[in-house]
This record gives sequence, C-alpha cells and structure tokens, in this order.
Amino acid sequence: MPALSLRNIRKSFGSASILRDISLDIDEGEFIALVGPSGCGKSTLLRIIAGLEAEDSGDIDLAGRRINHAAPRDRDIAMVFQNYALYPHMTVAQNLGFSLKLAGHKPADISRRVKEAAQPLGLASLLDRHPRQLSGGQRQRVAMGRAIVRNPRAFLFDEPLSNLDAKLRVQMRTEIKALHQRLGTTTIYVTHDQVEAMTMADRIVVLKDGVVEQAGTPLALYDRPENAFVAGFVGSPAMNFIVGKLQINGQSRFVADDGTTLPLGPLPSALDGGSVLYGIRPEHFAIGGEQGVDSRVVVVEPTGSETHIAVRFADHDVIAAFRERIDARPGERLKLMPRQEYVHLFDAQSGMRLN
Amino acid sequence: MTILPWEASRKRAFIIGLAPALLVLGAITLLPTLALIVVSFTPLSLTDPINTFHFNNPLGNYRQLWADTRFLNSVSVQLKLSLSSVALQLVVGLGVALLLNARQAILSAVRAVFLIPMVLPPIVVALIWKIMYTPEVSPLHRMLENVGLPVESLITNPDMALWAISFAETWQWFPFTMLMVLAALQMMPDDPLEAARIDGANRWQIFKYIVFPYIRPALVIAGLFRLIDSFKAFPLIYVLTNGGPGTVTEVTNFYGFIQAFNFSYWGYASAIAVLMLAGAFLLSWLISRWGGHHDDE
Amino acid sequence: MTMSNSGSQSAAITPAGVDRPAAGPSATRSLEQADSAHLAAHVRKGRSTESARRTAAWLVGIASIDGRVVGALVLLLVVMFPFLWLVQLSLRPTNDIFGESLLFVPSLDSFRSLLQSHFAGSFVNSLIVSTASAGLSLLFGVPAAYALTRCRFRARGRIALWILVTRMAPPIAFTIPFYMAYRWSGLLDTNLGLIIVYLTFNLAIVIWLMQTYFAAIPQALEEAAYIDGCGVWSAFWRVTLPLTAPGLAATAVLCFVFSWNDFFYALILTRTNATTAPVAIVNFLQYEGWEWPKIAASGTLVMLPVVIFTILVRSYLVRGMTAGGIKD
Repeated sequence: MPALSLRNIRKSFGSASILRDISLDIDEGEFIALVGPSGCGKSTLLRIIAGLEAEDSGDIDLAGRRINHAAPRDRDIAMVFQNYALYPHMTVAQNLGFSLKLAGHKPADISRRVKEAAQPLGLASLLDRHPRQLSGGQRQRVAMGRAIVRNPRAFLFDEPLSNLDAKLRVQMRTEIKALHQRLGTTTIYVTHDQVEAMTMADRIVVLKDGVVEQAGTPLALYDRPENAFVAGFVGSPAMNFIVGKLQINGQSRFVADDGTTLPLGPLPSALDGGSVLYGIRPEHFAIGGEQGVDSRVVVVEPTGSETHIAVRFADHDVIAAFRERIDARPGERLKLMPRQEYVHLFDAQSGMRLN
Repeated sequence: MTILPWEASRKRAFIIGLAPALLVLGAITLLPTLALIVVSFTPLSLTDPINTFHFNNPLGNYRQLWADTRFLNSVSVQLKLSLSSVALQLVVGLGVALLLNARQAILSAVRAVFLIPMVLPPIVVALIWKIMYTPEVSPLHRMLENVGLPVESLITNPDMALWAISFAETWQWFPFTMLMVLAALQMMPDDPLEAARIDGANRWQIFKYIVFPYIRPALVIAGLFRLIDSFKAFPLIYVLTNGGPGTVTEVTNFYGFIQAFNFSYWGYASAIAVLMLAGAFLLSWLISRWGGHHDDE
Repeated sequence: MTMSNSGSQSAAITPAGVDRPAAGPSATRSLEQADSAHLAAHVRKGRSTESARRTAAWLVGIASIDGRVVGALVLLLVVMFPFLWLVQLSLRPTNDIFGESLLFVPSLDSFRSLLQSHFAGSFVNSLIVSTASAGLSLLFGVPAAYALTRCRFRARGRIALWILVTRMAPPIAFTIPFYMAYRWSGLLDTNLGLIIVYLTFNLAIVIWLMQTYFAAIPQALEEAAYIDGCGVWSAFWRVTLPLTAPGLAATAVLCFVFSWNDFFYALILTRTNATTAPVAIVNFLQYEGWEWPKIAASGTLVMLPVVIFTILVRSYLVRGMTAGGIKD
C-alpha cells in the first residue's frame, strides 16, 4: 500500500486551471521532489496535500486513509514553509513544542521531545531565543525541528532553501538529505531548482501547466527523458536541441535545417520521417575527428572542474562541456561530433520521445 | 476526521465570528435609521404625540423644509462654515506639515504636541475659545487693547461670528490634515526630488510640480473626511454662540437640534436628520470610491 | 560558547573574539555557532551606534539655529497658547482670575471645589461608560474584523461602506430614534444607555482599524498553526491576536477617547444621574453662572485622561513583531 496516493486531483482558481488530473503514488519512506517552472502548480499540489487548499475533485489517501477534506491538523503531516513561518512571539522551544502543547502532552514530555529534536539540529543552545534573534540558517532549522517533533507520516517542504544564499543552500541540502536518511519519513519536496531535486530525491515528478510530464528516478529522467520539456529541464547546462528532419530510406539519417548531417544511434523500427528535435547533452560531444561538424567558438567558460564552450553548431547556439581543459579562443574553429549513443530524438510537434 | 469539509467548517467559523457584530450593528444603526425615516413622514410632535403620529401627509415635512427660510439659511451657513473651515484646515495643515517634515529630532516632539488640539474633548476646545473670545477674560483682547487696537467681541458680531467659529475649528482640526500630509510626504520617494534638484528647480517649483501632485490624493481624502465631520460640529456652536447672533451661526445640525429638543417637532427634525444622513452617505460613498483603506483585493 | 539570550550587552564576546577563529575543535564548529556570534556582535554594535546617533541628533536639533526649527517652535507657542492659557487659568487662585500679572502662585482651589461637587460623579460616569464601551466594542468588533480580513465574503464591499457611513453619520440622525426608544424602555439617563449608543461609532472604529492590523499578519503563520493542530479561532487566539497586541491597545484607546469626548449624545440622553463629564461642564455654565476658575479647572480635568492616553499610544510603535517569524 503506498504511503500517499493522489488520484485525479483537479484544481482551478476561477477560470484558470492550475492542476489537471494529477495522479501519483508515493511509497513509504520515499523522498519525492516536485519540480517545474513557476506556475506549474507544484506549490498548489503541496498545499492540497497539506489541506490548506481544497481540491476541486479527486482523492487523497494517506496510509490507506482518505483525507480529502480533512482539516490540516487531522492529516498527520508536517510542513516546512518557504518563509519559515515561525511564531515570532514564541521562543524556539515554544515554537518547537507548540503542536505537542495543542495535542495535550504533559509539559515534561514536551520539554523532553523538544530537546531531542533540537539536539541533532544544533538548536540546543538556542531554545530560549526568539526567531528575530536567529540567522536564516538557524530559522530554517527551527522550521524543520518543528516538523520533526510531530513525528508525522509525511514531511512537506515548500521550497525551503530558496531564501538562503548559495553556500548555505548547498550545506542545508546535505543536511536535509541526511535527516531523511536518519528518520526515513516519507517526504514531498517542492522546488524549482532541478539540481536540488536531482541530488536529494529518490524520485522526481516534473510538472508543467498542471500536468505530470514525467515521474521517475533522477537518473531515469536524466538518461531517458520522455519528452522535450523534461529533457531540457533536467540537467545543467541544459540539453542542446537541433531542429531538423529525419530521413528514413534504407539507412536513417538526421539532417539539420542547415544541411548538416548528424549521427544517430539505433532507432526503433516504426518511425516516420518528419520534423524532429535532435537532443544532445553538452557533455556528450567529442572533439576532433574527420567527421566532426565545423563549429565556431563563441564563448569559453572555464568553471574549474569543467570547461563550457558555447559554439555555433549547425546554425544553432550549442553548449559543449568537457572535463578536460580545452585551449580554445573565441572565433576559432572546432570540430565537434555528438556521440551517437547519447542522442535523444523528439517529435518536433508533440515533443514526445521517439527513440 | 471532521464532519464538515475543512473549507466549509472554516467558512462557518468566520460567519460565527462576524454575525454578532453585524447583528448588533444592524440593531443600533439600521433600525434607528428606519425609525428616523418613518418618523420623518409624520408631523410628530411631543406636545401631542398620539394625534400627530399619522401618515396623512408623508412628504409634508420635506415640502415644508423646501420653503423653510430658516432651514435654507442653516444650509447656507453650514456650507459657508464647512467650506471655509475645511479650506483653512487644508492650507494650515499642509503648511505645518511641510514645515515639520524634516529629520531633526526636536521636530518629531513638536509634531507630537500638535496632536493635542485634535484629541481634546470638543467641549474643552469650545471652552478654550469661549475664553479667548470673551473680551472680559481673553488675553488676546487684552493684548490688543494694550496695543491700542481694542476689538469688540467677535462672537456677538453678526458679521464675524461665523469666522470666529471657523477659526476655532481650524485650530482644532488642522493636526488631522497635517498628519495625513505628513504620512504622504514620508512615503514620497526621494529620487524625483533629487532629479529635480539636479535639473535646477527651485523650492517652489519642486513643490508645485513634484510634491504637490504626490500629496494631492491625501489632501482630497483628508478634505472629504473633514467635510463630513464638519457637519457634526456642535459643541463649538452650542458654547460660543448658541446659533446666534440671530441665526447667523445656526448650522443645519443645530437647527435640527433646536427643532427636536427645543420645539419637540420630531417629525420635522427627523426630516432634517434624514437629509443630513443622505449627505453623509453620499460623501462616504465618494470616499470609499476614491481610496478608502480596504479595497477588495 | 554560551550566549546571553536576552540580547543584553554581555561582555562574553568581544568584537575581536569574533574575528579570531574559535578555540577548540575547529573541524566540528558548526555553522550556527558562527551565526550566533556574528549576530550578537552586530546587534551590540548596532545598538551603541544607534543611541550615539540619536543623542547627536538631539543636540544638533536643539543647538542649531536652523530657521525651520525656530519657525516650528514659534508656531508651537502660538498654536498651544490658547490651550496653555486654559491650564494656567485653572491653576490661578480664585481671587486672582483677572489679575494682570502672568506670574502667580499656583493653587488647586478650583480643582478642590470641583471635586467636592457633583462634577466628581460625572467624572466617574465618564470613566465607566468609556471603559465599558471600549470593552464591548472590542468584544464584538475584533472577531468580526478578523473574519472580514481572512474570508472572502461577497458582501465585503457593502459591509465596508456600511461601517464607513456609521462612522460618518451625524449624531442627530441617531439621537432622535434612540431618545424615543430610551424614553419607552427606561434607558434614558442611564450609563447603559450611553454605552449602547456609543457602540454605533466604536464598533465601526474597531472593525475598521483591526482589519488593517490583521491584514498585516502573514497568513503563513496561521497556516503553520493549522498544521500544528489549531482550528480557526484557536490559531487566531494563540498566534494572530498576540501579534496585534499593540494595534489592539491603540484601538482600545481610540474607542475610549471617542467615548470620553462625546458631547451630543450625552447631552440629549442623560439628565442628572448619568451625566458625563463634558455635559457636567456645561451644567456649570448654565446653572452656576460663569465661574471661570471652575470652568477652566473642569476643562483641564476632562482633557487630562485623553491627553495622557494619546501620549502613551503614540510612543507605542508597532516594532515589526513579525521580524524573525517570516523571512523579510
């Protein structure tokens, strides 16, 4: 039985349809990331799971129990808000223990559980402070502690790291992941940052315009995106797309609009010719070789661990990434060849994966 | 599991919170208004309540008002007083706000002290100015006398009485416009000012082309609020002139008061009150359209 | 490292101490300890510079021959002169009212004779009526204001207009019907009668003002409370209301002041038992002749609570109590 099950969730605000028929099963202990561009409905979906918004239609089951219209407090979930939402007039200890106090636990119990939750988060010495006396990272940890103390069936995170600076974000990412491994609680994590999703999640659900574009493990999404949107969304720098046509007569060929022929890997048999998008990730180019496409270097970006080179390739702006240091100058010419086993083909009209 | 869906039970909780206030408010505002309108259709007089409570001539009071010179006079007095007083309040409030809109700490203390005339009980304001306007005890009159410019009592002078009241009212209420203008001035962004200074504008030009357009909405709202409030002016007139000399300072509110509680012509007074209420309603509607606090988001 | 948590300027951490790397196992020094130290140093530094700056500003303000300040002070004297005259008049000994000299030995004779008269009773009436009216208005108005803020009622606009009109309506429109009603129900000349009438403007004020205060509280705080286990009104009571305490206080004071200052309703709806202070003054004028010292003293007494309250509320600024709760 899945820990959380969503069936045909629909939600509209007035005439705007935010969620169209979302169905999803989440297993016990899974870390699910909901990603997508802004406006895709991921935050709305999270709030519906939490009970802060009501779905227009559809069912939500938590551990087999139907919670469609239950009050948030009856759902056995805890949420970490984007802006922390700590109670300003309460101390850290009171913030952490608030839910326990409402549930009627004895003060001694509350105090013990608060200390237990605060210790691994490094909050033990801050229990008497007020939120305004804490730094951003500390407030974030209090928000997490507040959720942990309740020992709920599921954690809901609503873009918790988007207000932190880059360095803190990286550190908190690791901490949240470690927390998940330690507690094993089912977690639903909303973010617009696909790097966060890739590094933290067991499975990623990509949303766009209220529809699930693809759901799967990070590597599955990375290696076999099911449509052009997911292909371009996951992975940084993003996948390159070349517009062209697929020619099927005897041996299949891909011809870009400017006439360049590019290599293809094995193709499924039932394919028509037609307009396609040729997708190749930046790290899947090889330099040199007789058959390489002649490309003009535009910009060279050394990041230290990689070299990103923006080139003009088959009349497209393309980025190639290499582990090695490449000695190239803007204006020079390089021969680049996409590695055929890593080519992704998508129908130009529907965006669906072809190979 | 709750019985009602969370959304619905939440809405119900809000209705329970709102209902008592609405009921009370309805009982003490809508019912009396209804009664007022009903009575205004009768010639009710407390001297003979039973026989005068009939609806034979529902619009009789209103027709009589239309021809009542004393009523029409009261309307004109009201307009003169309200418009002059509000205009003065706006000008003085604006001037003081501009003067005090600076960072020196001592100015913030001055701003605080200037709140006093506005918060004083109106009866005390009336007393203060009764003293100021009574030659026997007024230091102002005495000072003028000592300088050789003796002035007679303003409030017994038919030509000056209304101005005396207007002045006293301005003294009382200019802090209100001052506060509204100050709030607007403090929210004004610095960039256009600096740009104008760099462009070479002098202080008057800066005021006329940049500051004034920005604070004009605040002035309009303040003016509307003060206008409505000015219709309620009572203690000043009651204590200073009692509507006199003659009916020179008899504003509509005062005339209604006399009709109701001196002459006991309640039907007639109700008609006057209904007209005043209509005016207040109209002005409130204007305020809500031109920038009340709570626009529906 | 232990930190004093009251924010007081403890000497535990010196600025130099923060800049030096911490002694002890640097490998395990966690981020939040550096956070705390940094924060404390910042707060201390900020505080001392703030107070120094403020003192300097005061000195500059006083010592400057700035035309603006001079003008403001002159204006202050001119505007406050009538007010100050009343106060000094109330302190004159009764035999020296029209004395020419500006200097005199202040005497409380006028006040004493006032308090021995019926006036003291009216003062008590004012106190009772104003406090009760403020309390009752808050009782009904605060939940209503909250409901209006958080719930998308369709009639919201109409209710807002109704509230505004109630505030703006000329008292005479209500006094006539109320007088009739009270004559029949025996509420004429009672404190309760006035308390009810004052609800007409006080309820409107409470609903009007508290809406703005509630709107400033982020809904995320209430949502967190819902998840933690609150219902609508327990979230309101435990989270929203404490955060609006200053606004609540200011609103209560405003209700008190408006009730205290009322003249028209009290004049018409009371006779002898329930007269409030403003009306009692006028009784002096009419029944005891124009006794200026008593008049001045009564005026000074009546204005005192109002002026005191205004000063109190003014200095009670809403110092972003949500700072720290929501990322700003």
